[in-house]
Amino acid sequence: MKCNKVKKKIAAYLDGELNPVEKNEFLLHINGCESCSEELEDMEFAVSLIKPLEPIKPSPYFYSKIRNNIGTQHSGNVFTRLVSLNLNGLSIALSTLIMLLLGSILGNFVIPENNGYPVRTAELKNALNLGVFNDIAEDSFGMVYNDLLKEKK
Amino acid sequence: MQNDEILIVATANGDKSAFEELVEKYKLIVFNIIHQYLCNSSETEDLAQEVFIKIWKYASTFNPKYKFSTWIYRITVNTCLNYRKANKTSNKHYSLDQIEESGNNDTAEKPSNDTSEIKERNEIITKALLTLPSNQKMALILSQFERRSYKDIAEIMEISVSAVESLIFRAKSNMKNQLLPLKDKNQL
Repeated sequence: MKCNKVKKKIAAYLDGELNPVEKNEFLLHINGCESCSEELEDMEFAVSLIKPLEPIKPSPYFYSKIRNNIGTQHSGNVFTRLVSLNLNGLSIALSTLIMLLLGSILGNFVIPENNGYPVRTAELKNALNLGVFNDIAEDSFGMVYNDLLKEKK
Repeated sequence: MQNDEILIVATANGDKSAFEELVEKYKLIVFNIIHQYLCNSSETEDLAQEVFIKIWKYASTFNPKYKFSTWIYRITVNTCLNYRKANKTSNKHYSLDQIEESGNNDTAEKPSNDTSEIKERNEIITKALLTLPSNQKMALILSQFERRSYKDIAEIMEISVSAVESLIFRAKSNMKNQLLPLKDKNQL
């Protein structure tokens, strides 16, 4: 192993990350090379000074803050989230369509006919006195008045 | 299936009690990785919350092919790195108070007139760590403080093992370059 390669392996050696073959080659070179040996010593010294900060603990409200944030959010995959978002609009549209279809079917096939009018229509006509919109009878006052108006023209 | 995997599947189905169990189990790990990385305790909790909110939101994307701990480390690391990118002036978070509370609490072993030297030393060491590039600092934290193997770190950071080796070598070389001149002056 050459010095350049050995120096790059110093950190991995100190971390115990060299395989047995690499480790043997490394130590063989270190024992015979003053420069690399010094480099190893310097890095060992620097690493010995690297210490973690004092650990800290989360506040007692840590989880409740998270819970408040996830309260309105859905867990789950993209598909289920998309489905849940669109479900309300789709369900309303679908319900309306079904009701219209049902109403149309009922109107066309369920009500029997009587003299060209659906039974229900004839009953409504009588109840609401819609006969006033029929044509003027021949012997009625209205017809006489109509004829007089025509003669005047 | 491991217990963590069962909990994350339950979380993906909206089970908040399973999620709470995961939070309890991993909050200290997540908290302290962020704390070591930021050296700023006031923002640590906010960032830790962000990590767990992401876990809740993306629980269904967890691939059981990998260990759950690797996944949670990955989310924590990415959250830290993205935070640093968004707040590029990292020296704003450098706090002398944080240095005084650092782990090098060996003042009891020395006479009181050496306390100021120890404090100064601690400041220099932590400053050396703070000035490392983000990726190098994170790789060093995972290796030195979390005692993760290079293979684990490669999975967490989604890079190759040789890239991890290179990052850690450069991080330690940078630290060495900053600390050695002080040794020569007999300050250490």
